[in-house]
Amino acid sequence: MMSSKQLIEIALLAGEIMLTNGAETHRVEDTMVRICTKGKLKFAESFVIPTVIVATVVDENNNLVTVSKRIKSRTIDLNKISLVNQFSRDFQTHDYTYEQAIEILNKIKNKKGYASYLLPFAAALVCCFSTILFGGNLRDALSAFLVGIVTQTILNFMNSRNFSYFISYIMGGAITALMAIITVNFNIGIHLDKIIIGSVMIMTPGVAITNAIRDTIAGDLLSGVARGVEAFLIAVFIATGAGIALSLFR
Amino acid sequence: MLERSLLLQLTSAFIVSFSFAILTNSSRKSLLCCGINGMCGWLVNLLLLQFGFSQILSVFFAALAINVLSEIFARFLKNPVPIFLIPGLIPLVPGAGMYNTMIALLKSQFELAIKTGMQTLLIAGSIAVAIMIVTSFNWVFKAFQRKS
Repeated sequence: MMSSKQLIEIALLAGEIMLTNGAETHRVEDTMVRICTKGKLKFAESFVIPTVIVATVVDENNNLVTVSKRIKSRTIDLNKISLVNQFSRDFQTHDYTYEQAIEILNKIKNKKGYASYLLPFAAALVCCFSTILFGGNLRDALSAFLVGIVTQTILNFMNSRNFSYFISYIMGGAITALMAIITVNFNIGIHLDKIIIGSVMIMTPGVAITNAIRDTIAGDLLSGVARGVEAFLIAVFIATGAGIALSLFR
Repeated sequence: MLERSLLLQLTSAFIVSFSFAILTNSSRKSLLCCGINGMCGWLVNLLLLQFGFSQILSVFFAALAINVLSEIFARFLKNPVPIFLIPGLIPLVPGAGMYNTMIALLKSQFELAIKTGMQTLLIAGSIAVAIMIVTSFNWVFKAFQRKS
């Protein structure tokens, strides 16, 4: 039988993995409470906003344990959310020991995503085919492919060096516009606007928008507003970056 | 024009959603479903535009279709809903509207900027409302299931 401290430690680790990888806050709260209710606890409650996790449990001897965890950097890895979700279900049905549970969670936390050379290629495909969707022709698609590879490579580099998201999105917008101008000048692409519209797609804050809406419906108004502002600001930053590059170099 | 390029557009929407799912690190099993999701949404969007619906309404119904499909995929593959929802919505994002607003602002054409900006916001808002409707219905449904 696990002690309340060990239970809350497992719940905190699971919550941290989910929140840093882009889960909605009500999903994190649900998962943490679900893990905590495995033991003989009188009371288990968690409070999560996009930057902080707080959890409190009271066990049968009236021992009260509260822990909080500050989340500083956030990335996106939806596979880890799905894996932790699965873990919390297994945790209720199986009899894991404390060490086993921590080991499984650490394995999920350190799991690598797709190979790093695949990401620029995937981004290039997104750019290329969005350009076609927005009405570009084959030459525009080819130049959007090049723009996508370069932009995603630079974005990956900035993410690995922990640049603030303000700088990385402004730079991302500027590099996209700049690369588009260069490809048009080299006569690869034809329609500058369609190349830029298609290439900006890789930076769309899809996770932030979707989570903002789903959090708001779930009643987590604070997280909903925070994520909504984040998504709006990202859109403004990208537009600012692209605008600066367009007005300087054209 | 629609018939000639329908196949190309649907393939493009499929590849856009599929590759965006790789960017968000979805598991290998769910990639195909993400692609199908994006393709179906774009098909609904195109058909409604062809029937003379406004852009806002057709995006709304496309987002509705994507969300329903995501809920179905989530049940079958036992994954959270956003994994399918986020890549599926990407082709519908009003990137062109955002770009045109920015260009109008750069040229100091403020009336045009407000007009295109409002249209962009309305399209984004219609996606949001579509997600709200499906998700709240789904949660009501779940609550009834739990009681019985």
